[in-house]
Amino acid sequence: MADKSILQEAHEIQMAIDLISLGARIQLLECETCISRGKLTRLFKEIKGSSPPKGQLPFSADWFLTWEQNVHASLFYNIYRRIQGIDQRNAKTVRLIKAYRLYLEYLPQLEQDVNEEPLFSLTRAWTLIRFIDSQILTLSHCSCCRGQFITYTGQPHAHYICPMCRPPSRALKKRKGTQSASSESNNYIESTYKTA
Amino acid sequence: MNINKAIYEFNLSYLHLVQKLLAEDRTSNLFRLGINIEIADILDGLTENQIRLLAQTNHLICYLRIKEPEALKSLIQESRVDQLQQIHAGIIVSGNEH
Repeated sequence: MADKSILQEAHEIQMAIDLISLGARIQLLECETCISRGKLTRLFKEIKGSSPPKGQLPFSADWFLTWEQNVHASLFYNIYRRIQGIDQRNAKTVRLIKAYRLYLEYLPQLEQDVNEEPLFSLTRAWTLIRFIDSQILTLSHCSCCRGQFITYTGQPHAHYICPMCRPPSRALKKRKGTQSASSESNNYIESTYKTA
Repeated sequence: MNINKAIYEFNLSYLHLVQKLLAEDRTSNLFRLGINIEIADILDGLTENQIRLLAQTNHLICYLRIKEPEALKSLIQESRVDQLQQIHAGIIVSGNEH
């Protein structure tokens, strides 16, 4: 873009650097900045030291309903909503970055240190916001702890109990150093909505 | 223990912490503190004398952020998913303020 101001471009590049450092995929960067794909790819290589991953972005809304993913996603979205309320001047992407950084602080040190992608990545966080904005997913109050958790829009929520108050039977105490076995099972969704 | 003195010191360190946090990353720290912008702006502008004045009462000037007894219980009870308790606490605390 010839008429783009240099300051604006510098600002966007800084934002792209933050996003890439936090694990953003190229598709996310293309949506949230006006920087060309070529430049983004170069930036990605310079920061990460490797080519950006290819292929489609994860697109399943069910993923956010699997019990452990649901807990992480719910924390992120609660933070994001608070940040939205506090900070209306900054762009949506700035709020995404701030909220995701705050979310990362809640992870046990063990998981923070691991140099691989966290269970709930920045790209997932971004996808989650889009699912909620398009009213596919929403937040519901747990009838036990009153915390708000991600659920499908349109599900009956009167007796909803969150996965922390009623973890699925296969949820086990995590031992040190083991990665969570995150199955894509929907047992949690089924059991949660079976109300007595 | 002198109760009023203990409360005064707690209030004082709370207000100092608020000012310290607001001087840094304001948005993120407003989230951590759980206070709104208008309140934050006032607290941020307090002089040391005003802080002492505000701290000098026989009550605490801040609340426990977990308001539901059930929520509090769920955070301390033995759970199979202990490693997520910190996250659960975050959900409860960030969800009940508007």
